Amino acid sequence: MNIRKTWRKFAVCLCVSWALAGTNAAGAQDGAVAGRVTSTTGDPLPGANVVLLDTTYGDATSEDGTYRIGPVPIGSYRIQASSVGFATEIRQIDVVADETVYVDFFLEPIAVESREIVVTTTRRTADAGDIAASVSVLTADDLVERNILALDDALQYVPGVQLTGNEVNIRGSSGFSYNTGSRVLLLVDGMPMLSPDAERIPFDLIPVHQIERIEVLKGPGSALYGGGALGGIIHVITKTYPAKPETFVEIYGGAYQPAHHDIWRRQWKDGENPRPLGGIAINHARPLSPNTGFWTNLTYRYDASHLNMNSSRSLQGFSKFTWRTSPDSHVNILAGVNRKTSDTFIYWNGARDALNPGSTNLGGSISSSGTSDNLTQHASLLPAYTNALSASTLLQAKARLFGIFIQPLDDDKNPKPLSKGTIGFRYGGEVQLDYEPAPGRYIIAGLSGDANLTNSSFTGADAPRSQPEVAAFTQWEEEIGRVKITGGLRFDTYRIRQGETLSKLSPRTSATISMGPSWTVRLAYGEGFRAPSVLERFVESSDHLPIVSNPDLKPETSRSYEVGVRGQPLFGDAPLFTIDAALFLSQYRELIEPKFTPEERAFRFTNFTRARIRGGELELRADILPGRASLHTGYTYLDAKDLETEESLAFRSTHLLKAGATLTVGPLESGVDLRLASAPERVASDFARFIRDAELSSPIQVMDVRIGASWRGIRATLHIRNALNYHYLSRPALLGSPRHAFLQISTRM
Amino acid sequence: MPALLCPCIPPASFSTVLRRTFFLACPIILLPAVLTLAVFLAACDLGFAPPDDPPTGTLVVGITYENYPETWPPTEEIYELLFVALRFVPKDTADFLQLNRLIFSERLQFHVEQQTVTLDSVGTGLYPYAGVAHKYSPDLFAWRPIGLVEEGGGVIVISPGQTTRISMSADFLNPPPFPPPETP
Repeated sequence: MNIRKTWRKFAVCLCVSWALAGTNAAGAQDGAVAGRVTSTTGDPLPGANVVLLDTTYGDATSEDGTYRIGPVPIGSYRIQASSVGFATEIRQIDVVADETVYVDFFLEPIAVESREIVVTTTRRTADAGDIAASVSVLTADDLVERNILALDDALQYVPGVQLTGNEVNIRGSSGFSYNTGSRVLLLVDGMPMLSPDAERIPFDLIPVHQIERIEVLKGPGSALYGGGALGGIIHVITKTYPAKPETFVEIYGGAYQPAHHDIWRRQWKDGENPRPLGGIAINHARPLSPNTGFWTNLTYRYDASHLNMNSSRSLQGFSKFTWRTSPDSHVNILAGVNRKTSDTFIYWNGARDALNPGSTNLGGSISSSGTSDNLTQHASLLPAYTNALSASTLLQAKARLFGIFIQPLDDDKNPKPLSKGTIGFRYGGEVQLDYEPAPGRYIIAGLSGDANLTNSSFTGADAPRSQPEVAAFTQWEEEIGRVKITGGLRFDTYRIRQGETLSKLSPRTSATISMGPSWTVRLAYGEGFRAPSVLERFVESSDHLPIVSNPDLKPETSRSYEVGVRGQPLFGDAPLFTIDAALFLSQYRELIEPKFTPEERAFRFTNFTRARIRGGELELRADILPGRASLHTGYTYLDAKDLETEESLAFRSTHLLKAGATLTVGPLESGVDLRLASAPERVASDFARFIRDAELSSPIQVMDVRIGASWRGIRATLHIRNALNYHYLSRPALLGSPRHAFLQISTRM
Repeated sequence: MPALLCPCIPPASFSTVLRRTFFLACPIILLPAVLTLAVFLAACDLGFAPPDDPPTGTLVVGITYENYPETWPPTEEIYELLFVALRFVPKDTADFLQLNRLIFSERLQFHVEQQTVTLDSVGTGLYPYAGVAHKYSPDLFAWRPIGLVEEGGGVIVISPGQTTRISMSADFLNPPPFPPPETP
C-alpha cells in the first residue's frame, strides 16, 4: 500500500515537473547571444561549439566562425566556446531583454584536447581525467574516418577489446561461449539494450553515422547498470540535431579478395571470384523550430561475404527527435527499425574446406547445418526526459521498447511464419535523480524496471517466457581535497519462474587521487553479474545440434580490482600525449557455456567453472601535430586461468596490441590501424568433438590502411582492410575476413 | 569544407591547396605508401593455412549381410547406413560424430546380400574400430553398429599409395555390443 502511495506521489511529481517545464518556456523574457570564434591567429573556427553552461542552449559556428544563440531567457550565464585542438574558454555574461549580447572568442591552439568527457562510469557527465575506471572512447570522427559499418566493427579498434566471432571480449571476460548471452552490456543513451531473447548485443541496432561517441568501460559495471555488465559496458551515445540543416550522403562499394589457397578455391568455385560488398547511407538533420529538431537516417548495406552461405543485406531506418521544453529540460525520442536478411555461417567444413559450412551429420541424408538463414527485424523506441529541477538537482526519466522478430527462411529464401522463429520484446524504464548538495559532492539514486517476453520455437512449449526485473541503485561521490571517493550499490531482483526470484546486490567503490595537474591515480573495486537469458535456460532444439533446457542455471558473477594511473604530462604549456596504465584482477564464478552431456545425448547450458583473469594494460594517445597527425596504441596482457582445471582459460589471447596513426596534409588524409593478438593458449570445447578442426586457433595480425581526399565537401577514401591478407580464425571453425578493399564517397551539405 | 574534414586549412581553390601541400604531401604520403607496399610484398598471405594433403591409401571393403533377406528391417527404419572406420575405439554413439577422427562411405545399398565399397583418399594409419553403422531413428545420435571388421584383429592399416582389401559381415538382428567391452 505504501509503495503504491509512493509511486502515486512520484507520478504526480513527474506531471508537475512537466507542467512547470512548460510554464518556464512560456513566461520568460528573451534576449540573444552572438559572436565569432577565431583562433589567436585570427582564422575563423567553423564547427566550434558555443554553449550556455548548465542550460540546453548552444550553437555551432558557421564557416566564418560566427554563431548565434537565441532566444535566451534573461539572466546571468557562463558561456563556453570549445573546438578540437584549441583550449576551451569560458566567460560570464548577462543577457538582457530584447538585446543581443556579442561575445567573441579567441581560442589558443593546444597539442591535445585536454577535456575528454565520459558518462558511463558515474551515470553523469564527468571529466575523463577524474574517473576511477578504465574507459576508452571512440569519437564520431574515429567512426567516420574508418567507415565503420556496425558496432562490432568499431570495437575492433578499442584497446583491450577483442571480438571472438560475435562475442565482445573486454579484458578476456567472454572468451568464446557459443551463443551464451553477452557478458558485456550494451547501453544506448544510458538504456540497456541487449536482445530480449538471448541477451545478446544487436550490433547493427544504431546507425553508425548518428553516433556521437562510444564509451567502453573495462570491468564490471553491475553496480551502475545491473545484469549483463559482467565484464564491461559498451555505451553508445547518439547525436542531437545540429544548429543548421545538414544532409550527409555516403556510398561505398568494394570486394573481398578471392580465396588465397587453392584447396579452398577448389571446394567453393565462387571463392575464385571477388565477393562484393557495398552500401548507401543518407542522413538528414535539422532544427524544426528554436526548441525542436531531429535527425533521420536510412541505410542499406549488402555483403556477399568471403564465406559460402554467409551473405547479408540490411535496411535500417532510425530517427531522433529532440524537444527543448524549457531552458532546463528536454525530451529525446529515439526510434528505429532494422530489417536484415542473412545466411549465417556457423562453422566450417574443416580446415581444408574452410569456406564452406560444415555438417554434423554422418551421411548425406540431412542438409548442411553449419549455416542458418534468417530474416531478423528489430524495432526500438527510446523516449527520455531530462529536467534540471534546480541548479543542483537533475531528473532523468527514460523508457525503452525493443522488439526482435526472427523468421527462418525456407529453401526459396521466403520467411517462414513467426511461429517457427522467435519473437521477443524488452520494455521498461528508469528514473534517476542527480543531486549536488555541495561542490564536489554528488548523490545519484534511481529505480529501474524491465521486463522481457520471448516466444520462440527454440524453447519448450511449457517454458516460462518472461523474466521481469526491478532494481534500485544509488551512488555517492565525495571530493576531499585531492581525493575523490565514489561508492555505489545496486539491488536487482529477477523473477525467473512463478514464485521464484533471483536477487543480486552489486557494490562498487573507487577513489581517484590527483597527483598534480597532470596525473591521476585510481583504485577501483566492483562486482558484476549476468542472469542467464530465457533462451539459455529454456532452449529445446535439435535443428543444428541437440540442446536441452537447464532451468536451474545460476547467474554468472564477477569481482574486479583495478589500480591505474592516467597522465597528460605537460610539455611547455600543453600536454603532448595522454597515457593510461592499469593493473587489474578479475574473478569469475559460475561461468556458463553449452556443454555436451553424454547421458542426455545433447548439449545443455551449464554453470561449469570459475576463473581468474589478471593482467595489465597500457594505452597511449598523442596528437603529434594537432589536427594533422595523431597516434594511439594500447597493449593488454592477460593471464587467464581456469581455477577448476588449473589450465589456461580457453579462447583468451595472452597478448593484445592495438595501434593506429592518422595523418592529414591539406585535403589528403591517410591512416593505418593494426590489430595483433596472440593465439589463445588453449582452445577447448565440446563442439570440437563434432565439428571438424574446431580445436584449431591462430594469432591475429590485421592491418587496415586508408587514404583519402576531401574537396568542396566531397570526401573520397579508399579503404583496404586486412591489407596484408593475413589468414586468421576469428573464432573456432570460422575464418576471418581476408583482404578487402572499398571506395567510400561521402558529402555533407 | 566541413571542419571535420580539414580543420587546419581555410577555404581555398583546389590548385592553391595542391600547390601549398604538394611538397609536404610527397614525402609524408608517398614514403609510407612505398614502405607499405614493401611490407605487402614481404608479409602478405601469411597466417593460418590449410593442412597439407595427408598421405592416403585406398580401402576396399566387401560386406556380407547375414541371413539375407529376412534380417533386413523395413526401409523406413533405415535412416542411414554407412561403412565407418574410426581412429579410436568409441565409448558412446556421440563419438560417431567426431568427424576429424573417422572416415565413412557413401550411403550403402539397402536390401542386398553383398556389397563392395571403395573408399579413396583414406588417411594413412590405423583404424582400430570399423564396421557398418545403422542410424535407426531421426535422432542425431541414434547410431548402432550392425557388424564390425574382425580381420587383422579388427584393426585396419592404411599404407600410403596402397590398396587395403578387407571383408566383413553384418547382421541387423545380431549387432555387436555397443559400446564395445573394454579390453584389459
